[in-house]
Amino acid sequence: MSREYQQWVREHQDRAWSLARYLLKDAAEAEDAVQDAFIKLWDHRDNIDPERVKPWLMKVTRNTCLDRLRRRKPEVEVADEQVVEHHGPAAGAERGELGRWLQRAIRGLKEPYRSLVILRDVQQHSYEEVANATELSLSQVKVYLHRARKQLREQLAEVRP
Amino acid sequence: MNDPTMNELENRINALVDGELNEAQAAELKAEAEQDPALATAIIEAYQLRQLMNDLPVEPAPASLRRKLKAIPREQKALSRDAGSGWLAGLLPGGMPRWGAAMGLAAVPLAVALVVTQLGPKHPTPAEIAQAEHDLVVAMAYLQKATRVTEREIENSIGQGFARPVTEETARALAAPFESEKEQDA
Repeated sequence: MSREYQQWVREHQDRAWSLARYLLKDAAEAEDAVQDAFIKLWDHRDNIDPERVKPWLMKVTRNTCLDRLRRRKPEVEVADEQVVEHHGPAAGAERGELGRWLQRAIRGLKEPYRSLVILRDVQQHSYEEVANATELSLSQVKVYLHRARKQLREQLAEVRP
Repeated sequence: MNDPTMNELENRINALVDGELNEAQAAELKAEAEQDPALATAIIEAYQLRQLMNDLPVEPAPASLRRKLKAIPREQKALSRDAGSGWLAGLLPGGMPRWGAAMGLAAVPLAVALVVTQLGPKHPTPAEIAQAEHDLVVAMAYLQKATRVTEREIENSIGQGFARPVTEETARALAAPFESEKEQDA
C-alpha cells in the first residue's frame, strides 16, 4: 500500500500543489495544505477507490485551502482582489505577461468560480471529476463555470490589445 | 446573465469551446456568428481565453514538499506506533477520543499525588520525600506524553491554530500545584 501511495504522490502532487497555489497566495501555507491533504490520503488509503483518488485528493486539497482562507482576516482577501483589478497587462504586452495577468485574474475570482476554472480549464479535469471535487452537481458546475469564463473574458477584453 | 436567451447563447459558446457540439450544431452557431458581430467576438474571446489557460505553466511541486509527501507513510507509521502500541495501548475505552483518554490518564497520577500531598504527614520522612519526587517525575512524564498526543489529536480535529494554546494552558494548569509545592519546599 505504501508503494501505491507513493505512486499517487508522483501522479498528483503537482496538481494538488498548483491548486493550492492558486487558492492560497502564500507558498508556505500552500505547502502545508498539500501536506495535510496527503496525510488524509494516507489515513484513508484503505477506504478510497483507487480509480477516484484524483478527485478525492482535489476535493480534500481544496477544502483544506478553503478552511485556511476562512480562518484568515477578511481584509487580506479584499486586498488581493484589488491587486487583480489594477494590474492588467498593458497594450502590446507579451504572452507571458498576459499569462501572469490571467493567473492573477483567476486568483481574484470568488469561490466556487475560482476552483472551477482551475480544475476544469487550467488542470483540465473532466466535468465529472470537477463536480466530485467541488461537491457540486454537474449542471451547477457548468452554470458557474460559464459565469466565471464570461467574467474572465470580459476582463480580458478590457486589457487585451 | 438572467436573460434566458443570453444564458442559452453562453451555453452554446462554452459547449463549442469545450468541443461538446456536434458538427451540425457547431456549423449552425458559426453561421449565426457570421450575421452577429457581437456573437463572433464572444466566440473568438472564448477561444483566446481557452488558449491562454491551456498555455498557463504548471508549477511543479517544490522539492521540499516532495520530500515531505514521500516521508508521510514513515512518519504516520511512527506516530501511530507512539500513540497506539505504547503505554496507552489497550487502555482506551471504546468510542472515547484518544486525546480525552490521554488527558484523563495524565490526570490520574497527578490527582493521586495531590491527595497524598494533602493527606500526608506534615513532616514527611526522607524516604517519603524521595518517593514523592519519584511519583512527580513519573506524573510529569505521563503529562508530557499526553500533551504530545493531545496536541496531535487537536490539530487533526480542529486545525493547528488551536492546538498550542489549549495544550500549553492545560499543561500549566495541571502542573501549577506542583510548581508551588516545589517553591515551598525550596
